[in-house]
Amino acid sequence: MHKAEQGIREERRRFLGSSLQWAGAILSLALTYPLFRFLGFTVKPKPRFVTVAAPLPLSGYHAERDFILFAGDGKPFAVCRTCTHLGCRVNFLEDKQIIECPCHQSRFTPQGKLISGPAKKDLTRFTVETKKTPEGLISGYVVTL
Amino acid sequence: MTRVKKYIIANRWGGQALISLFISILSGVVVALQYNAAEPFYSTATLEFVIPYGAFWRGLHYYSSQAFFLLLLCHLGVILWQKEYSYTRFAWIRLTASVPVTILLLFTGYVLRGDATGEAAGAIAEHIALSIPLLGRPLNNLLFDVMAGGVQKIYANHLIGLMVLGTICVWPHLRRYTAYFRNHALLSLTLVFLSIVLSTPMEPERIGLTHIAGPWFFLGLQELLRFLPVFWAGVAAPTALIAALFLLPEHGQQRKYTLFFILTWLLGYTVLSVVSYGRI
Repeated sequence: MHKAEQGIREERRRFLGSSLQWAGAILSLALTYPLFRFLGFTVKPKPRFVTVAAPLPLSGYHAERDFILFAGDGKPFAVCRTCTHLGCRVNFLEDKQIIECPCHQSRFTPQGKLISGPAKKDLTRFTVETKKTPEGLISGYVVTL
Repeated sequence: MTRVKKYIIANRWGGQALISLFISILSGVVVALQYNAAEPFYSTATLEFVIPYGAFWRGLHYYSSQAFFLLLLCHLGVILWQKEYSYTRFAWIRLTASVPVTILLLFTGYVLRGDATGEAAGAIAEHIALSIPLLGRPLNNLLFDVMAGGVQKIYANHLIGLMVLGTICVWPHLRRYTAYFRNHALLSLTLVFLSIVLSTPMEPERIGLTHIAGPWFFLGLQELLRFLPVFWAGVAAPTALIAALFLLPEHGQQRKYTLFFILTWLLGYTVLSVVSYGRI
């Protein structure tokens, strides 16, 4: 009788232990979904407005960290400095009048159009608005990133 | 030749790698106390030029980390050559996974510099991760996420994530094999000496920068990315090497073929690295 009781107790202990393990496993599994949803979410960056004071240098361009602003004769425009190949920061080569990536030498026109290299897409262009004085003179350029 | 071979086999590469790692961790803690991940390059520059002995601590961290990686590779090379090990497949994969983890540790360290090389490296790594189908986005969110979050996740992984992962990989091995500073005094002093006399690389961002060379161990990859699509150059090629290491048979003809593949891969990578270096 005593042995039978012991056997039942052990059986119960084993069952409870196993149930607890299963419960733990199911709970962990259930938590993976909110975990991955949380980790996978990318918060959209706040739009940034960068003001560049006018007039620009005689060269007609101004390079900031994230864009190159061109404001020569025509409408001002800005191109993103992130290369469309692998994200390196591109530079404007004034002597050659091209934009080139220092990582794999993808080349773009000042307007951001792809010329050559491993990149496949043109550079992103940003909206540029002009700030004017009451007299109508351009006092600055506002680039929206 | 025989003497060289004897020396190579007898040298305690593993112990030296471990001591280099200890020095790297200790110096890393020192550097971390002044490093600000919100301003990576500014922080690196102040460490180098403003903070007293910052250049030394940064140098010690850099050179000990490089030494750890190189000594680890030598250790692995000798082990594979001598074939004096016996692990289950799982134990082997767990242990050798420390090599890609180490590469990631070194790589994240480069990105944390925040200089032109570091920023470009971070951007390229993110794009490589994103090129992986299905898993690319979650993997990037876990490891890099530079465009959205700066170096925040890279810093967390460098300090904690990859260290924990690396420890998990080598824990059973470390319990079996220990290393003491007193047995590697020459190595320790050499690293301290190098940190005093040599400068640590840093490449500030500047307008006229027409060529960026990545971390030295990724020069070959940088060259490969010039010609092949991102997934094949950045994911498939490195994975082939790691897979060969993980699945290396213990003996027989298959082992010889796998070792031949690994050596051929490394030779090709070396050639690409030299070509990439020539572009600097």
